[in-house]
Amino acid sequence: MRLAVLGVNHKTACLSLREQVALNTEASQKLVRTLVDCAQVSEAVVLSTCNRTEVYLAGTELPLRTVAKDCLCSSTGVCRTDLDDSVYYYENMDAVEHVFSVAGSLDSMVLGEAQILAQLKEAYSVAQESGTTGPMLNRLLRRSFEVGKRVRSETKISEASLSIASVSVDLARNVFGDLADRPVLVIGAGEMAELVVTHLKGRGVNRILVANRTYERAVALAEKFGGEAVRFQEEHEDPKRGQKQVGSHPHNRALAQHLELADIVISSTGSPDPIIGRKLLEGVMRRRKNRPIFLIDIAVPRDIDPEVNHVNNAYLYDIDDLQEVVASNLDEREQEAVRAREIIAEEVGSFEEWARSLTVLPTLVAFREWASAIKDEELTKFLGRMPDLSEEDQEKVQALAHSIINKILHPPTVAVKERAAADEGYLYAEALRTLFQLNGAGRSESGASENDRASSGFGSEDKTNSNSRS
Amino acid sequence: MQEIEQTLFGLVTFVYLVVVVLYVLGLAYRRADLERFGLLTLTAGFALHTIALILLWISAGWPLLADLHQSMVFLSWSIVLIYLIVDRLYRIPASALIMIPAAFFTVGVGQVLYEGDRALPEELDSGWLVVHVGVSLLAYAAFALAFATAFFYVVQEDLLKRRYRQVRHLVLTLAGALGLGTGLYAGYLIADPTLFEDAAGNRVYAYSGADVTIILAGAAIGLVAALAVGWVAARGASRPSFANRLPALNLLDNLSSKSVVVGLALLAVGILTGGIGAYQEWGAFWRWEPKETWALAAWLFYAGYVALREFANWRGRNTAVLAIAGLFLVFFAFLGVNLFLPGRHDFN
Repeated sequence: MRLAVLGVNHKTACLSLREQVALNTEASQKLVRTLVDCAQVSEAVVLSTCNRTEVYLAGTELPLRTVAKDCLCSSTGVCRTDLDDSVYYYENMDAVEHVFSVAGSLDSMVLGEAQILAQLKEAYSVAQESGTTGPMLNRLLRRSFEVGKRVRSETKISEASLSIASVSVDLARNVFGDLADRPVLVIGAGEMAELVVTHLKGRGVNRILVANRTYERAVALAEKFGGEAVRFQEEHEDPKRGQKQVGSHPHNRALAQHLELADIVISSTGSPDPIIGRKLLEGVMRRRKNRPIFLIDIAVPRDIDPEVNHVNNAYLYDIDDLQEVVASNLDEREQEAVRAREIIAEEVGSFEEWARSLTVLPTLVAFREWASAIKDEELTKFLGRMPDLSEEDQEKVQALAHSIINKILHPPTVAVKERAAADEGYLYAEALRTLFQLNGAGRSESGASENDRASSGFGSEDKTNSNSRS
Repeated sequence: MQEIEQTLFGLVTFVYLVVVVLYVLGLAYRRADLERFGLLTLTAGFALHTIALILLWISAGWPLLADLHQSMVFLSWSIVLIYLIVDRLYRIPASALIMIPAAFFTVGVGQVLYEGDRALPEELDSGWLVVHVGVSLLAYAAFALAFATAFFYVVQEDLLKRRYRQVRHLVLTLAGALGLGTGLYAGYLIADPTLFEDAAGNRVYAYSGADVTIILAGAAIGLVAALAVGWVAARGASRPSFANRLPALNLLDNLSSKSVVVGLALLAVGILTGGIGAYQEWGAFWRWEPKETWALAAWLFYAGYVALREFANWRGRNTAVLAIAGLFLVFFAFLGVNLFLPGRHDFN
């Protein structure tokens, strides 16, 4: 039994190619069926997400590169040469390691993201429904779900926030703790501001004031956010005022009033000059009785004078500051990825052990079948010659034969099983086959006993591979 | 009995040290399991501590305030009790980094000071004075909590304001001050300068050359050790994920100011009962003794804190700095006065 993975992902293929090879559920079902129809392939699972399309195969003969590629091309209509440049292909333990890395989200575009595990489970259940999974892929994928869970629970790879919006929420929580019922003021509009508001609402924020240059626009936005529109006077109030002073002018009363009320401020206007200056905010803080205020400035050019951060109990983050936090969090996730890789290496090791013991099992089954066939044959002969024996005596004879066979089989069975996990495990299996001429009997349906030497080599060969890779 | 009780105190000291290490590792390496284990160990240590106190109570009699040893092991117990309650209510493992070292330190010093189980001197065995000492100690513990939360307020705020950079100098300053004070005091205890009466009848301490060397060495060791720990801690602390694990500014600010109010009320009761007791024993309510003066100074300082907060809207960093400074005043009122300015409070 051999394993293989073939696929493309966000690292190897551009978006347009990924779009072409992306498969919906129906297409995936079709592809897995086409794959298992090929002679060398016995099991198949297809995973297709926006960042990757991968084929997991168990087969009787390696390599499976050509088969997998051909099937993928014919089912997606992608030209082979296009695929050749972007495709990656792993066998046996490298394949296991790859699947585990995918499940642990180490191979994801966003390290530690949570979706991939669900997508993998979905891919597995689609293949299961199509009847294209078997002992090998069942084991591989179920194990990979466990690996994914372990990575997420034992490391903090999914912990640090990686988006501007979630970082903003983290920071606001560092100031206020519980965000429920904190009034939020949104000045201006924009996609980023919307995202931040959505995240804040997820934390229980329910009072959202929306200010905009024109009141009509504010009303429209407020409707979108589920907030209330507020008036916001700007430059035209006093035409004599210099541009530079717009924001810091202490008489921007409407804005000051809203700032007095709001605990969290998100500003993203198109104003060329700051609209909130240090003086304005100092006045606001006096009237707020120094209750803390958290300001997020996602406008470029900036809406809030950086000096505001020096006002007591006011905390200002602009887009660069937030970006920096994101970078630092990404760095933390990468540190956690090191621990995640250790978990994966451990799991690959135990999978390897299992795969090796698998190759010995069919031999032992054949060994036992051979012996009990002899026993049955001899018993039938013997009982045929002794028709006078009572039923009780017949049973005694049968028990005797059974017990002798068992006693003889026991030591070699235990010895081979014990050595199965070691590198030379297959030698014992092979010795059994040669000595007792087991070549015809007991071949398992999965084809695992095709050639014990080669399929056991599976483990040792790949061990060196994965070592050199890491 | 005395042996068992003193062995238990020794064990408690060791357990608290283990807890400190567990919490430091837990926070530095972001391991929640270490923190949980730390809390479990702390609870076990607290149980032992309680048993030891009961044994001491049986052999020396209630209240456990006859000498510095008894006050210290009792104060340490109060600190752990307050920490366990606060942790139950607010889950702030980070504040353990202040409270548990404080508990370890006080119980450890109490151990060093042990000179046999002593009963309360007869002249002090008055209800008022017992309440006075007990309540004052609890007030000090409340101020210690105000300090701990204010400390983390300043750290959390610096992380936020400085974008998770350049917090090293802050942590080093705070750790260094703590280490220096601790080292000085430990040095003093080890040196144990002799007390004598001078010609005018004033009791003064005589410091020998060796005493001075030991005290300075203690200060140096305390400073270096604290700076080393601070350096490592600051390194781990300079990142957003650490800030996310600290309590929110709002919570720290609230907790700190509430602790100050509670401490202020307790200290007021402590000072008043002390005055009443003194009136009964010596016929004078107030004598301007060093300890009385310093305790009053501390009380006025914290009263100023509350006034500024109430009437001048001081909040956040300003009040946090006051709460931190206040503890040094308290520390001096509690120990420094006894050590350097002898008076009627010598025994305690």
